[in-house]
Amino acid sequence: MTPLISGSHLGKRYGDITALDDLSITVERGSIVGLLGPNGAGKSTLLSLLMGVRRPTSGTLNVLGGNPRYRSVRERLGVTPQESSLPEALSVSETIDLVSAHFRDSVDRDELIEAFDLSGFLSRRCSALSGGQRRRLAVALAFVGNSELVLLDEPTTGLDLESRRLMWDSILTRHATGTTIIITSHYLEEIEALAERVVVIDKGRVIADDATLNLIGTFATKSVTLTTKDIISLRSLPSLIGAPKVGKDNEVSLRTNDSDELIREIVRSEIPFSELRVDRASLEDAFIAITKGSEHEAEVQDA
Amino acid sequence: MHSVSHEEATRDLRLVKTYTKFEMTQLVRSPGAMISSLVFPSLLFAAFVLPQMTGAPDPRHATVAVAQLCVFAFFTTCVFQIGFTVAEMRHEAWFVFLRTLPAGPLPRTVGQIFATTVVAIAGTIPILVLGGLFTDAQLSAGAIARGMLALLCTTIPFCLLGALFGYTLSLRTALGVISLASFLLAFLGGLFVMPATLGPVFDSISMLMPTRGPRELVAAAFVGSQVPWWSVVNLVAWLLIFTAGVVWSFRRDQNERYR
Repeated sequence: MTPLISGSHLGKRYGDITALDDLSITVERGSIVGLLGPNGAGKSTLLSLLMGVRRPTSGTLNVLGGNPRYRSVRERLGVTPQESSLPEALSVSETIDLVSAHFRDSVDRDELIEAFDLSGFLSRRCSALSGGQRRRLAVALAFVGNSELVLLDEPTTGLDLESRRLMWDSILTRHATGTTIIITSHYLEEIEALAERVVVIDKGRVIADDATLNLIGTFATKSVTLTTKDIISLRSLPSLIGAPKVGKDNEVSLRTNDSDELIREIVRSEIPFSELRVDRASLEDAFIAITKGSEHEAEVQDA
Repeated sequence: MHSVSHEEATRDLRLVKTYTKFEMTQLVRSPGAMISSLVFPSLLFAAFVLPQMTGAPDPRHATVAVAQLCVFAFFTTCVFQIGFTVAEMRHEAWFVFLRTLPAGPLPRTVGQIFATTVVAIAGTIPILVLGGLFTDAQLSAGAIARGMLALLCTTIPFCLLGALFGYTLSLRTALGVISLASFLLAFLGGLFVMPATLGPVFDSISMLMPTRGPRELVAAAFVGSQVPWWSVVNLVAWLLIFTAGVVWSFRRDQNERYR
């Protein structure tokens, strides 16, 4: 089956600034892909190409079998307004109707209202909504057209953890009906919770692209934390990756790919310790490791 | 090429209706922007035109005075409403979102023009009422119908001028520039004072203004006299100039923001 999105050698320049540099990406139908990268990495530019608002300077892009600037493609594409920008004078209900009037085949209204929990403020004007309510409406609008592909640009920025989790449920519910979703986020845990695959972009290029679990697995999967004064002995442990990180009150955290083996080594070397704890490394750890790696490569190339 | 199917054309028509409705809703809910369009022209009429009309009972003169303030109502409403909507559009992420929806910019633009026209018509009603009650202006049903038809023709160049302002000015400078420019154009085009009364030099400068052609057209329609040929030339010439200006400024703006 042909991929839902295939972009090859995409370049985008704004005058002297290179926002995207020979970036290639494919997205299969039915997946949830997380787009991750530091500010100014090119995520928003890539999204604007995918939604047909801008066109690439070089390379070819095929979205849903065509050019996203075509109406027939946009018919099957759902997008959230950036910065939760909404028509302030219209009510929530009117805003949904306005967006829905554009599509040939729009989603069942009640189902959408239910999925994003909008029923409590349908008749309220957008200008009177709280930050969380604005977000919920903005994200819901991306699903109004019953789209095959939905692009979510930072859907939960500014929400508290509780509301964020509710939003994740809503998004996953829509995904379960077969919608392919691309999501960018500042919250790595969000990508971790939602995305099956992560594409890391830095300086306009893809620097990592893998299943979320693999990506976390590649970079020091486990973190072992313990309290000890004998940091020197810890340094010589064979399963340790990198240097031990010393925190407050002699708390030391160690990175490793095999926490069981590392703990055995600690016990064998008779290092005194207390308060042992093992955590799974987060996507954040992986992200730091990847972007640092790419910086390092760049330095090597410069030298 | 991408052709518009019958289904899409039908949907576009429905969208024009939807946009007109929502533009109207927005105007009614934030009447601050609309109130000057509704009140200002008739206020001017009451303050400056009515006092001149008493004691000089020339029905034709009075009818023309009513006509030129109706043109003023249409002119300011179109330039302000469209100018600000477009300038605002260029700053808000909501309009970038609208671009991602499956429809061209046409239904929205037509909806905005329809809503603006409704406000402009509403703005002329108090002028017609005041003119009919307190002057000798001859405002038969036929005269009003002819005048309205002529006024509707003027919305196109006026809205285009508004769009030209909107695409070239930032939201911050729009208020100052549009206010000043529309006041000057209204004065020079003879919307406040009969151009002939200010001497032949003023009159010939006035004939070149984009407000003068519409004034003559609408005045002739209200009075029921023949439309002067040069006013039609004026109207068409400015229509072409504004269209070219809007196309140029629109492209420039799109290039700046969506390269």
